[in-house]
Amino acid sequence: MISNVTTGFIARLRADDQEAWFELWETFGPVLRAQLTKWGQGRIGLETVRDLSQETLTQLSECIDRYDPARGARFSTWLLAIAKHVLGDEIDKRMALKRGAGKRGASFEETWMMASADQGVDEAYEAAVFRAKVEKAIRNVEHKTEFLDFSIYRMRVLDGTPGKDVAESVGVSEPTVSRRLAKVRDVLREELRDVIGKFSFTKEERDEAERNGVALNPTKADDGLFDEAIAEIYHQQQELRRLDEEAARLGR
Amino acid sequence: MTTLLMILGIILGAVAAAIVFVFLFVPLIKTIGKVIAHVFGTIGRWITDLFRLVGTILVIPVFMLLAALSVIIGRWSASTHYGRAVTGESKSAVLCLYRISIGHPLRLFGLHALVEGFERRLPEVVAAAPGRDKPAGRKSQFEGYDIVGSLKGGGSGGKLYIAQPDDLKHAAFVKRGLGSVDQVVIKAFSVHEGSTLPQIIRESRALDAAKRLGLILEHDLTNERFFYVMEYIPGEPMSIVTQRAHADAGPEGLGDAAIGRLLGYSRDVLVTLDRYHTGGLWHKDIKPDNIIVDHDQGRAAVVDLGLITPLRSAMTLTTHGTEYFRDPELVRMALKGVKVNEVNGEKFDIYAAAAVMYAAIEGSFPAHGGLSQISKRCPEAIRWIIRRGMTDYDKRYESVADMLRDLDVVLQAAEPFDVKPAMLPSVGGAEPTGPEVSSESSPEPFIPPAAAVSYAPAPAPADRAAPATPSEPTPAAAPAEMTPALKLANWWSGRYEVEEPTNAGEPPADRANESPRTEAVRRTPRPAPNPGRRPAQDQLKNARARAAERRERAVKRVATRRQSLRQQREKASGLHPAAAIAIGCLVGLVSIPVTAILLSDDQPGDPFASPAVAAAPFDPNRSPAQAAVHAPARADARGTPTPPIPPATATGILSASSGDATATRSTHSATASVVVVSTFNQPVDPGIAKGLGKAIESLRIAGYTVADAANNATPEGVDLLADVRAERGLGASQAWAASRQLSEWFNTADTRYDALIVIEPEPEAIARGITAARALIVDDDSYTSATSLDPESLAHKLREVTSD
Repeated sequence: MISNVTTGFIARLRADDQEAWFELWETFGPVLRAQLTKWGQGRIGLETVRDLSQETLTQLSECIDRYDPARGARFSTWLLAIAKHVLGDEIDKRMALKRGAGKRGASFEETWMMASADQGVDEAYEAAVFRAKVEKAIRNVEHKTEFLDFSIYRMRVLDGTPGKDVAESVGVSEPTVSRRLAKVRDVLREELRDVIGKFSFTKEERDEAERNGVALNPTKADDGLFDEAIAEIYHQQQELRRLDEEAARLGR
Repeated sequence: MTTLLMILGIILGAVAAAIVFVFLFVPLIKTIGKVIAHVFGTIGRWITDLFRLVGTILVIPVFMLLAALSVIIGRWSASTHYGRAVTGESKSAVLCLYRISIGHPLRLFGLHALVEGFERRLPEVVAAAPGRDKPAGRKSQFEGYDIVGSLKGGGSGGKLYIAQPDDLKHAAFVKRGLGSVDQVVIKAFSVHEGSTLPQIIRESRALDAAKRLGLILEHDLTNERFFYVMEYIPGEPMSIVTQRAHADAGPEGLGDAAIGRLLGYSRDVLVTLDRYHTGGLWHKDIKPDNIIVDHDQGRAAVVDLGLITPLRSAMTLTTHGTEYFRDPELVRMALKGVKVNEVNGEKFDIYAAAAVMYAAIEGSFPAHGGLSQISKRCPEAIRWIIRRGMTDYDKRYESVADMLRDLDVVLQAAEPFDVKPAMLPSVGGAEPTGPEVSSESSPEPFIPPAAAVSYAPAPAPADRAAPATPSEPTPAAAPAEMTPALKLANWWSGRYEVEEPTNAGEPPADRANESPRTEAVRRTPRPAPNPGRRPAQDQLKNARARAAERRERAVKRVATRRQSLRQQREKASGLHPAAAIAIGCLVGLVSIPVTAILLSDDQPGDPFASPAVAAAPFDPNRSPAQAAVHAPARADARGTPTPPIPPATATGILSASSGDATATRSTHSATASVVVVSTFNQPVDPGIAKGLGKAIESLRIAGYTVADAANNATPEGVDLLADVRAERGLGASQAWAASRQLSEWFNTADTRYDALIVIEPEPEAIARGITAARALIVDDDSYTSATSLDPESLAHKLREVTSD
């Protein structure tokens, strides 16, 4: 069953809502660029990767009307397929220059793309997409919670600062730190539900959170695990962003 | 026994072996694997570069031959093309040679830092090198200036020249009070050198802004060219300074001196930004490349006026700026078509300034926006300042001055690493004492001396659009002009109040300490009043009566709250609730065996008799709750079942008939008074009206006192709705933001209700052409995001809000 929020987001994309497109780009842009870089395997430069990631979204905007979530295809898988085609087109264009010299253009599933075939549907990509969703949820939490509350959560969970130091740093008691942590954690769970619902179309996608250690309906004992999982995902996403920024800087 | 010891020894040995294997052997193998991978990886790259070099060397003679042939047969363009190819291949060969002979061998031994200077900084510095030193053609000569150099142009399309004014110009500058100007920068646009009319028009706006800030010495516009002259600030971009500082530092981050120096530059940037904002301008392109560090004077200056925008501009926001230093929220707002004067542009400059600080500390761009992690060494308070500057638009520093005060506390501290965020003025700490105090108290002040004395807080000018120059940050106050002021009191009814005439040049007394920008922003988005419904005298009389009534109600409410708080305090015994529970549990645990022993002493003949049955003598005066507890036991004892008395009725818990959501609500929540207002225009869609009716009915069943101002138009309801409309205005469409906005207002509004439910159209549904409603629930200290009119979810959300 498809949630209203999800179809709402697709409707916004179809209605050419620029804000929705920016949200999509902001959330999944780095993942897309990382995937294209991985497939490109040095055959395409950093600037080309950025161009192709934008081209992917352009192609998406042209075929968004044809997308039918009822068929059960993951949105991320669909995006990946479009990115593959865009990259395939680019390689075709390059190879076409050499036509007539006894070489033919690369086809869509040519050997150059087999480098990532060992991962099947590309689990790494799906994991990256999930991490992007978690990152989006953390961003939303930053919007929704008080600055002090989120700072405490960031220091304690994302930076791994001991609770005592956090309390001393912001001038509150340790129980207050725990209370505010719990408050932010609850909001984060709520946001994760919303974000995963927004960018997921199949039940399997919606169950991803549990599989990644992010329990959305937890008991008290799960809080520690939840925080650990969130911190790990945040750091992995941080690394992805860092590589993306470094690539952009070198490409300049 | 021996066998047992042997088994124990074997087990212990196995455990020890496992520990050694896991903690010693596995990491060792991993390290060896990494070293082997590193060696082979380097060798692989070395071989690749070797082959590439060979290929390049083979190709170069071929290109040279082709170039020569092209010259012979007269194909000049082709020869140029082959010539360029030879240059490109030669560069590639030199790079390969460098990597083979120096780069890869050094990397093999882990000396990455050694080659960074050649591979990263050198190309960047070369790329940033100035261009031609003399402008082309006679028309580009600037009268009175001798061109001595050029600077790399930005994205505006203009040419930048460094020039020395001749004696006449120099004397003119001195006469105008501009001091001794030795060198100037001339920014020139010439249609003969590729500049276009739109570029010139855009730049003329920057000229206007620069004039306001007193940065322009001279300008000229002819049919062929446009140029303006500014004072030259020698130095190098902060990006290069930062890179060098990080190259000199270890992997853990900058040393104390470097941190102090870079933060001093950041402080200079904030001081400059404060002057821009005081002058009513938004820089819009703060980034390390646009900050020039003058090493001689130890100060930093902000350059590039290309994107400067007046804060009160009526133009639509644009997405111009630089990635990583531009707030993503700006892009979102620009995509929505928001106007410049509808936002607080200062906050975007604050974001960029915080991003510059991040780049200085971290040595890289904040790729993750506000969530970027600060991993390098830096004072905790600086992390806080950076995060506060880069956080969500609504929660960011209100003004640069606020950020500056926080930064000053750290810079003035004798031990900046000991400064905690709680000590910052924005978090409630003490205000900075002034740079001179710190320099006296600390033998090695963290703040560079030049930066410490460069800032004098700019007093608030009367009008933000008025010009303010760096040398004279406080413009002369406007002549005293007594103007009447109309203050809009009710947007819905158009009611306004006549304020006492005030001096136009001075802010009201209670706002004297506010930043002028805050005042301007507060005044700007309000819609214009609609006088003309009733005579002003009547409206004023009415308003005063209402205000008196509200004041009275507020006083009563505050008195009631204080009384209830006092009662609560009196009830509290001074013992922490958790401690009381713990003691209760302990006493309970101890009392069970004691009671059992006592009972067994009373009935020695029946040691297995149930204590519950034995301890339940008939007592006609016991309470219904006690009766309920003992009922099953009694039933067992007599052999006839007796229905238990529900204890809920005795303790005020609501019955379960109102659904699961209300089953456990306390008396306090159930008696909360709620007012429901609807912003839908009349007549309301029947479907929505029906849903609303059901929701209100269910809340009443749940025990809430509901005032239905949505369907019954009482004067108070209309007044409240008008207030809600005025507060809500055309504010955020996001439900949580709208709820928060209303909550803030509700906190100050003097109503007699505990919570407010606002029924309003669902924005996303409107976009899809569907009529749907959402409910925003707020009370004076908390709020929730929107919920549907479904009775159960409405009751659930309301309980969340009121229970806070």
